[in-house]
Formats: sequence, C-alpha cells, structure tokens
Amino acid sequence: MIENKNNPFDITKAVDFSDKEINDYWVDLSGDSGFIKMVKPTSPMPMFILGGKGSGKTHLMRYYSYAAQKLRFEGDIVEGIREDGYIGTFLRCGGLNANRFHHQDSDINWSLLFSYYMDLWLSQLILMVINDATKNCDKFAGCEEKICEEIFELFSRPNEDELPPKDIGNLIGVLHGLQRQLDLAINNYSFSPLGMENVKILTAPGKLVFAIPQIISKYFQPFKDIRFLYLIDELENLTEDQQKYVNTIVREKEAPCSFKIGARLYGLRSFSTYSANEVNKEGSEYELLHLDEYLRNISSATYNKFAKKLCFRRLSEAGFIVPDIKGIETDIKKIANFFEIDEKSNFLKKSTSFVELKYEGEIRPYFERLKKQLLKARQGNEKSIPLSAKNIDSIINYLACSEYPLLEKVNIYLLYQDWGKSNNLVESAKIISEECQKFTVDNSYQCRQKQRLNHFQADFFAQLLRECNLKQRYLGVSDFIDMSGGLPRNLLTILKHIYQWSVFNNEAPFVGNNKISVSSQREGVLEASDWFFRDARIVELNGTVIQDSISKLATLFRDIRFSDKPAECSISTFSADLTSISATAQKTIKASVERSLLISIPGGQRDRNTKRIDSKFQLNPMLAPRWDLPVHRRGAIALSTVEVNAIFDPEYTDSLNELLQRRIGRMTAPAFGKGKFQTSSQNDLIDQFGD
Amino acid sequence: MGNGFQKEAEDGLVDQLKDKLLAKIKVLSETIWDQRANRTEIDLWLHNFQSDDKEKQEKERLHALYLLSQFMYFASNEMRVLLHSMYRDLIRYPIVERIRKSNEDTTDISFINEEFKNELSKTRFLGVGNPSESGTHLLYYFRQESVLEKKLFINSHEIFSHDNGPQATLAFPTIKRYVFIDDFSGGGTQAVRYLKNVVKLIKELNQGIEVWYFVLFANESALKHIRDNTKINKCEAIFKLDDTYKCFGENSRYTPDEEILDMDFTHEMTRSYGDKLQPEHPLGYADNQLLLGFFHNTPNNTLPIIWFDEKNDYEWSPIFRRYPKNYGDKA
Repeated sequence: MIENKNNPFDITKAVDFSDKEINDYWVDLSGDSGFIKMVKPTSPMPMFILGGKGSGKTHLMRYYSYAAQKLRFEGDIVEGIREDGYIGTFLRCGGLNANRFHHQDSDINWSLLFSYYMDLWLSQLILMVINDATKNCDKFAGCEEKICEEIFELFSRPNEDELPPKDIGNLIGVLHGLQRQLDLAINNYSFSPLGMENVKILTAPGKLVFAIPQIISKYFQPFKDIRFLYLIDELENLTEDQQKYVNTIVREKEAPCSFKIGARLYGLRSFSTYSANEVNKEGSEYELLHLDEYLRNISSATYNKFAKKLCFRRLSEAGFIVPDIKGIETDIKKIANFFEIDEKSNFLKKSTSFVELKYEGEIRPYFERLKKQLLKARQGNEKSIPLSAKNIDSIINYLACSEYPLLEKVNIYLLYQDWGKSNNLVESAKIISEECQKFTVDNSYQCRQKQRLNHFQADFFAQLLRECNLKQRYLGVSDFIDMSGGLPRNLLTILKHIYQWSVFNNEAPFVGNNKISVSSQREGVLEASDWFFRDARIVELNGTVIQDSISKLATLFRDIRFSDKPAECSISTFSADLTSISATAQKTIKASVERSLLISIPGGQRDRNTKRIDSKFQLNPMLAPRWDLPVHRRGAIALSTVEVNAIFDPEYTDSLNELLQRRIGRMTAPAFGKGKFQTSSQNDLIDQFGD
Repeated sequence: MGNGFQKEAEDGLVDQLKDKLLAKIKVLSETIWDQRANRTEIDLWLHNFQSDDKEKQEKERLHALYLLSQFMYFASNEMRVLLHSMYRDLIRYPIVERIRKSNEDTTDISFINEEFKNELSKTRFLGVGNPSESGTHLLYYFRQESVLEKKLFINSHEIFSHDNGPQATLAFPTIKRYVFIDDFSGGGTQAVRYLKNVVKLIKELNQGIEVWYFVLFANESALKHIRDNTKINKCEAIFKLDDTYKCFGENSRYTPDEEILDMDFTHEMTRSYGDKLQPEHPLGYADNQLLLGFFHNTPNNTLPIIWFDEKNDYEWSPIFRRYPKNYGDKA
C-alpha cells in the first residue's frame, strides 16, 4: 500500500479549529470583494451574518475575534488592535444550554434572568480579552484600578462596604462568582426551586455590556477610538424569547460597541425587542449579510479563485505541496492538475470512445431505442409518417456518424424536433445527415447541430453515459467548486470523500504528478452528495415531507434531462408563482431554502405568458450527482400552481403522476404529448412517484 | 447460469450492489481494518475467482465481495480492549467477589485491595503454546492492559522443577493459581493437546491448585471440549462464537437482504475453491466456516479463500493473509 498522509480535508467545521488554525486556514476573497469590506468590523452598525450550514460564518467570526487577532500581531498587541480599529469578543450560543432558562408553570421572570446571565457572561469575556491584551502594558496598569472601581460601581451591592477589586483578574473572579451562583440556582431549579430566592439581579439589563467598553475607552487612551465588537455566533440555539435579548442590545447599542451576530438561515426566530416590543428593521437597526448568497453572487472567477485558494491552503498546511515562489496565482493553477478529467475537444471523441468499444459491430443503444420508437409509430399508424422497414433503416443510416457518438445524439434530437412537427422523417434525416457531414469537417459551420451542442452538450453526454449503462461523471475541481453552491464546506466535504476513495484505490492523491482517477472522483462526489441530502434532514419540522418533495422535484428534472427531447438544457431550476400555491407548499419551499436544499435565485423569472415575476429556485448542485443532474444552472422550467402543490404539498400528491406524465409526455417519442403512446420513460416516472 | 443474474446485470443492479459493497468495505478498511484492504488488494483477491463463463465469474466476484464485506477483523486496539476486559471480568472481579464473600461482604476497599494483591502474588500468568505462538504473543499486551508486574508472567516449563531428581516438583510451592491466556480456540483440540498433561501434572502435585484457561475468541463447542477433556477449573471466552457465526450453517447470521445474493451459490463457490486450497478443510479447520481475523494473524478456522497463502499447486492471493505455523514436519 502506498503510504498516505492524513486527509487534509478532514476538518470541515471551523468550530473544530484551534485559534491558530483559524488564521492558518484563512483565505480571503481577492480584489474588491475581500471579507473585511463585507464584515466591516469597525462599523458601528450591527450586522446579522446569515448563511447555510458550511457557509463559513464561524470561521469568519472567529477570524475577527481577539483570540485570532492576537496571533496575527507579531509585536505589541495593543498597537495591533489600534491598527485594526476593533477588538473582537467571540461568544458561541451553542455552549449556553439555553433550555435551562425556561420552565413551564413557573413564576420566575426567566427573560430577565437570562438577560442578566448573558450580561455577566459577555462582561467576563470582554474583560478576559482586555486582561490578556493589556497584560504587558504599563499604561493600562496605571488606570486598571480606576477602571475596576468604576465597573464595580455598576453593581447594586447588597454590602456597601465591599471593596472593589484592584485588577481585572479579580474583577473577572467577582463576575464569575455571580455567574456560578446563578448557574447553581438555575441548574437545580427543578429540584430546589427555593434556591432561586437567593438570586439577586445586581445590574440593569444590558448595562454591563455597554458600560464596560465605555469605561475602558475612557481611561485607557490606546483604546479610545477602537470598536468593541461582540461576535455572537450560533444564534439559532436561542429560543425566540432569548433572541429578544440579543435584539434588544442590538437596538439599544451604545458606542463604542457593535455586534456581529451569526445564525443559520432558519435561525432568526424574532426581530422584536424588550424595548416596548419594537421590531428591529434592516437598514435602521442592523445590516444583513447573507453569506452564501454573497458568495454565489460574486463573479464566478472570484469565487473560483477563492475556492482554489481554500484547497491550496489545506494542501500546503498538510505538507502536500510547497508554495511556489511565483505566488498564489501559480499555486492555484496546480490544483486542477491533480484530477483526471474528460477530454472535451473534437465533439468529445475521446471521452465517448466507450460507445465504440462497448458496441463494436452492434447497433448502438440510442439507435435501438429510436428504431423501436419508429416501429411503434408505424404500428400506431401515424398518418404523417409513411414508414416502411426500409425507411426506418434509412433514417438510422442517415443519422449515424460512428466516429462521433455525441453528434449521433444531436442528430437524433434534431429528428425528434422534426418529428414533433410531423415532417417527413426520411427527408428530415437526410438533411440532418448532410448538415452533420459539413459540421464534422468545419466545426464553425452554422447549423442546427452547432446550436444544439452549444446548449445541450452536457445533457447529450449524460444521456450517452446512461444509455451505455455507465455512471455519470462529475470530474475536476471546477465541477466541484460549482457543486459547492456558495457553501465552502461542501467543497471541502467533496474533496474529503474523494481523498478517502483515492487512498482506498491506492492512488496517493495530491502527491507529485499523480492524478486522482475518474472512479475515485465519481465515488467521492456521490458519497458527498448523499451526505448532503442526509445532513439536511430536518428534525423539528416534518423532515420526510421536505426530503420527499426534493426527491420528487429532482426526479422530475432527471426525467426531463433524460427524455428524448428535453425542453430545457441543463435543467435544475424552476420558477413558480408562490402567491397562488398552498400554505404547506410555501412552507416546504421556505424550509428547503433555509436548509440549502433549494437555492433562491435573486430576481426571479418573468413568466412567458403573464409577464409576472415569479420566484425562481435551483436545486442545490450538491444534490446533482444523486439524481444524475447537471451542476451548472442554465435552463429553468416554469411549474404551474398545481404542479408545485403536487410536489411540495403531500395533500396534492395524488395528482402528481398525471401532471408529470403530461409534462414528460411532451418530450417523449413517438407521441410527444399527443396521448397516443405510453412510453417507458413515463413508466419510470410512475415508478418513482408511486402509482 | 440462470437468467436472473444476467438480467440483473443488464439492469445495472449488479453494478449498484458491487458499488455498495465496495463502499462498505472501504469504510471498514479505513476505520477498523487498519487499512488492510485497499482497492488494489481487493482486485487482486477478486482475480482469484476465475471462470471461462464470464457471467459466472462476475457472479462469483460479487458474492466474494459480499463475504468480504462481512469479515470481522480485530485490530490491535480492539484486542487490547478485549484483553482488558478479560483481566477485569474473568480475573479481577471474580477474585474480589470471592474476597468479599469470605469476609462478610466487606466494602473496605483498602482491605480488598490488599487481599487482591496477595492473591495476585500467588498467581502466575502463562501463554498457550510455545513462545513463538500467538497465545504467548498476546501476553505482552495483556500485561500492559492489566498493569501487572512482569514477575507474575512465566513460561510453562517454569512451573515445574527437576532440581531434586527426575521426579518433577512444583517450582513455586506457594502459587495457588495458574492462568493460561489464549487468543482463539476453534475446536479446542490444540488447547487440550497443550494443556492436558500440564494440568494433570499440576493437579497430581497439588490438588488444591487452580488452573484457569481464558481465551479471547472461542466456539462454544471448543470450550465444552476443553472442559470435558482437561481438569481445568475455569474455562471461559470473552467473545463466544455461537453457531450463527458459521457462515453456511443452518442458523447463519450471514443472510443478505439483496435478492441477487444467493448463499447456496456462495456456499458452493467457497467449497469449490476451498477444495483446491485446503482439501481437508475446504471451509476452514474443523469446518468452522468463520469470517474472522486478527491483526496478528487469521485463524485457519476462517474460510481458506480469505487467508490462503501457502505454497501448493494452486496460486491464490489472500486478502487477510494467514501466517501458517511451521511444525517442522514438512520438508
């Protein structure tokens, strides 16, 4: 066995990184799209950073936290913070065990208690940050006692004679003691509710969070003009009422503080506050950064570069490749070379050579299928198609172009197009053949073949693979980047699985000039796709409904893609008028978007008939391999209200088969929707959706 | 060859199942098999299954993959855990229980520890077989896991002394317990062969001495055979292999869900290759039909198609090689 190093893509969650790794694995967007311009850590305006699982929220927020900041300063930390203009205090709501702060049938004001607890916690965190940053700073030592005294004054002290701590370390100890008392009372409330009688709330809600930074900047001149940034991550772990606390401090924020709050797309349960139940509004009280949407909407070249840098950083940190002295631009070009990919020139001649190998001397499967359809049409006695057995053979001979199976597929597609218009098929095939011959000699020749290949090349190749009983191919880093759909973790997960398969296949991946085989890529991609679908299972909602709906949608796309005459190329997107669909369907689509199973396309799509702007959604490209779909978004189909309901609302599922048969029937020879023939493709669909 | 398999091959079901089995084997290999089976090795092993009939060959390879996907492998970490369990559950706890019972169910931990220490000082641990064999090999790990003193471990020849003439005496008269440790017992015959006379002699010299035999893996029938044919006081296994582990037995646990997989065909195939590899034991020693292997070796009670690597007229590439015992009785 070839000796392999540890999988460089093993860790896919920033929460598992050390502070050093947060910096080591940090990759910024190039050009004007740098993260600092998005996150604006010195801005006074609070920001909610929303994103799907794996969009990079935690990495981003931890990068701006003090723990990572200080590792980036080689010399004087205080001076470094002054240069940055902010100091970040990071808090994960996930570690709170927030369910403790709620008991039914209890007279306790849990909201107030939670606010106080959070105040104490945030205060300790920021004091720890300040204590660490100033531990070697003489200037701070000169004002530390005064700062402690003034912070101590913020507490209503039952014992007025109690002396304030003289340094930050001891002040943290006092706060920690108060928090422990609270923990004891809260954790034991179910068994000893009387313990709560000893709890005293010693400060006004939110007071500490703002006053501590104010006192520090008042006395410690180097921090006079810096922003005290609270980075609160995993907001989705707080209940609706607990989120009101966060919303309130966002609304009531005071200089020099600001907030960056990270949450999953479904994580925001409320925008209301304790300030007379006022609701925070985007643009007034906060900014919104939708991270994965942002990454999807930057230029594909920028995202591509960012993603390749991400891979390169992993590989170089793990010792697989040494950075080139010519710089990162040279480095990232190497990434693509690690993967075996299809040769796409010359009508995919090389990549489709399997057809000749597999069917040498035999009729090729797509011609076999066409022959059966033509025979069926003859038996169906279609008036416009005078087909004899000889005619059928002639048609097939005309469409044949044995050197280029891809062109044979295009030719058949063109025949289907003519067939739909009920032309004379023999004559049609003859014209197609003439055009094809010219095109093979001069690929700049303008003909229908050229037009169709521009749009449908990937689909025809996919059909060829399927018809020859071969697996679909998702190859090369560019495909993987496109599959990630703005969620960098998806890319890392794909590479993690590919690496594992490559090692299993004894390939020594990412070493020297080795190329990762088609087989390893294919298996790894499929495994990653399955993982993504499973991982998106929704526990709190009816997960089966959402996953079933996505399966139905994906199966529809697949049947269109592999139909005789697909209406759209590279289909993975639909548009619909959401205002007219059922409430359940709306809810299912919303939940699918929040779990990143569907991606909402900004701007929507104009309906061809009514000119109405409909909502538009793409199936997450991570799911593409699971259903043999394309990873690149091109065509979109407009689904009617009844179709959307049938897919996304279980109450309407019964009508699905008929609706979809009608849709796929229009793309299927020999009837093309005229209702005369039941096709095998339609039967497949019935099998998928149940009868 | 029936048309069923051909049709399923055409429908792609065979490829699908093959992918599924390979995916499972990959996970096993990278997690608990110590990466012992990569794709190259698996392909090499599958290449053993040859037939002029290509369809039959494909079918055999698919069924071989199924068997491989069911293989139970115990890496060194797992063996250490089992050895730890052996010490704790079969040695320490019963002795402690006995101490407490003899002392009015005392819970005085200092007293119990002192007494246990005393018991240990009168106990000696030994491997089964000569120092080059696996039972002895395991003693090293057993000592590490039990944190016992080195002096408590001896070779079997050290039990007896001939200092006072040809008549053997006990070399350590104060010892009251000998514990024999082994890794595997398929039929119990080897253990009986090795232990029978030793135990008999110990008992003749001192009837009160206890002899224990503990093994990590054993068939239930092997334990019975040892109990019936020796004067061992305690004979236990950590992992008892009941008849469900017999691959093609009536109560076999290997019952695939997939209709394509046919255990009768697998049985016939395995026997047919087994006949060529190990004519006397085509389905493993004593017809045990196991799918079991350890990091240090694969028992010959496992199906020979898995481990066979010995020189004979038939070329075979094993997937979990067995290192055969050389008894020196062959040229």
